[in-house]
Amino acid sequence: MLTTERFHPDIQPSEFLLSAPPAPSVMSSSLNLSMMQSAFQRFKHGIEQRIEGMTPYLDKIMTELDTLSSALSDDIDVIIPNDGKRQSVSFTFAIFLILNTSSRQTLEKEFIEHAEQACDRILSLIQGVVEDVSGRGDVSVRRSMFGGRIAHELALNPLPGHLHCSNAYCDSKSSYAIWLSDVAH
Amino acid sequence: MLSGFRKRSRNLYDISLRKCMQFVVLTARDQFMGVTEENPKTRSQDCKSTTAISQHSLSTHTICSASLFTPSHPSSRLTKSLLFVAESVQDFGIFDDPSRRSTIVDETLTEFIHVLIVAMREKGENADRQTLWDLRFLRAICEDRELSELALVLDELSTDLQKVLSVLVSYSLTLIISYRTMRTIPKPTSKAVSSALSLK
Repeated sequence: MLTTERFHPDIQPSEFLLSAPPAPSVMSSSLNLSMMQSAFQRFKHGIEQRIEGMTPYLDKIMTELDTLSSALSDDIDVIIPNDGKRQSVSFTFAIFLILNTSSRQTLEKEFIEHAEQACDRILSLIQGVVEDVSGRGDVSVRRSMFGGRIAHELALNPLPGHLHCSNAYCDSKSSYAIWLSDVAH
Repeated sequence: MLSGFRKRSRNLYDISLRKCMQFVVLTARDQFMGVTEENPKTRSQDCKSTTAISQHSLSTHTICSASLFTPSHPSSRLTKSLLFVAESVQDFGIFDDPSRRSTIVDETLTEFIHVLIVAMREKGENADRQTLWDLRFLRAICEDRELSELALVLDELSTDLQKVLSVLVSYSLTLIISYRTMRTIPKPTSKAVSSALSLK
C-alpha cells in the first residue's frame, strides 16, 4: 500500500532519483564470488532504476505486471503463436492434436476478450487514483501524479501486446513519437 | 473518444500532469505574493515593499526605502517560487525524455507567469525596484526559453509598474526635501516666545 508521507520517494521522486544508490559493500563482496555478483547486481539495478525514473513502488508494480503478463503470454503463445517465438515442436503438435481449428479460434477470442477486460480494469484502477480528490491538497495531487506516472509507464509497456490484445486496442500505430508531436503542437 | 490502451494511458498521465501543474503554479504564485497557508490574506514578513500611494498607513520611511532601494539580485520570494516550480517539475517524472521534459518546463513556466501577472494586476502589486528587477529576471528566463509572447506580457506589466514607481520616487524625494527643509528652520528665540506669550 502506498503511504502518503510527504517525502515518500514515490510521492516526491526527485530526491530519490537524483541520489546515488548504496555502493556494494567491500565486506560482503570479499566473502565469495556469488555474493559479490549479487551486491554488484543490486547496485546496477539501483542505477538503472534511477536512469529510467523508476521509484521503488513504481518499479515493483511494473515488475509484477511484466512477470504476470509474461507468464500469460507464454501460455497463450502455445495456442496463438507470436511472430518470432518458437515453441517446442512436440508440445505444439500435442496441442494441435487436442484442439481443432474451431476450438483454437474460440479460445483465442475468449482469451483476447478477457485480456482486454483485464487491461481495462488496470486503467480503471489508475483512473481512480488520478481522479481521487480526497486528502489534503498537496498529498492528493502528488498521489494523482503517481497514478499518472504508472499510466505513463503503461503507455510505453508491451503489456497489451503480450496479452495478444487486438491492434486497435493496443494503438499499435500510435507511437510514442506521435504522442510527442501531439503534445508539442 | 479514446479507445486504445496506450491512448488512454497517455490521457491519464496528461490529466494527472495538468492537475499537478495547476497545483504547483498556484502554490508558487502564493509563495511569491506572500500568501501563506496559515494566513491566506496577508503578505509574508519579508515582503517590505509598498503597494500604492493611496495606502496612507505606510510610513514615509517604508515608501522611501522601497522606491529608492536599488536591488542586485532576485528577491527571496521569487527564488523560492522558482525553486519550488523546478523541484516540482522533476517530480512530474519525465527524466528520460529531454524534448518532452522541455515542453513540460515551458508549459509550467508559462502557466506560472500568467497566473502571477493576473494576481499582480488584480491585487495591486508592489511598485518598487525589486519587483521590476524580478520581472526583468523572469523576462530573461522567457528569452532563454524562447517564450517571446510571454516576454512581451511581462514588458507591459513592467512598463505599468515603472509609471507608478516614477510617481513614488517623485513623492519620496519631495518627502525627503520637506523633511530636510523643516530641520533647517531656525528654532524660535526666547524673545519671540515671550512676545508670543505677551500677545495672549
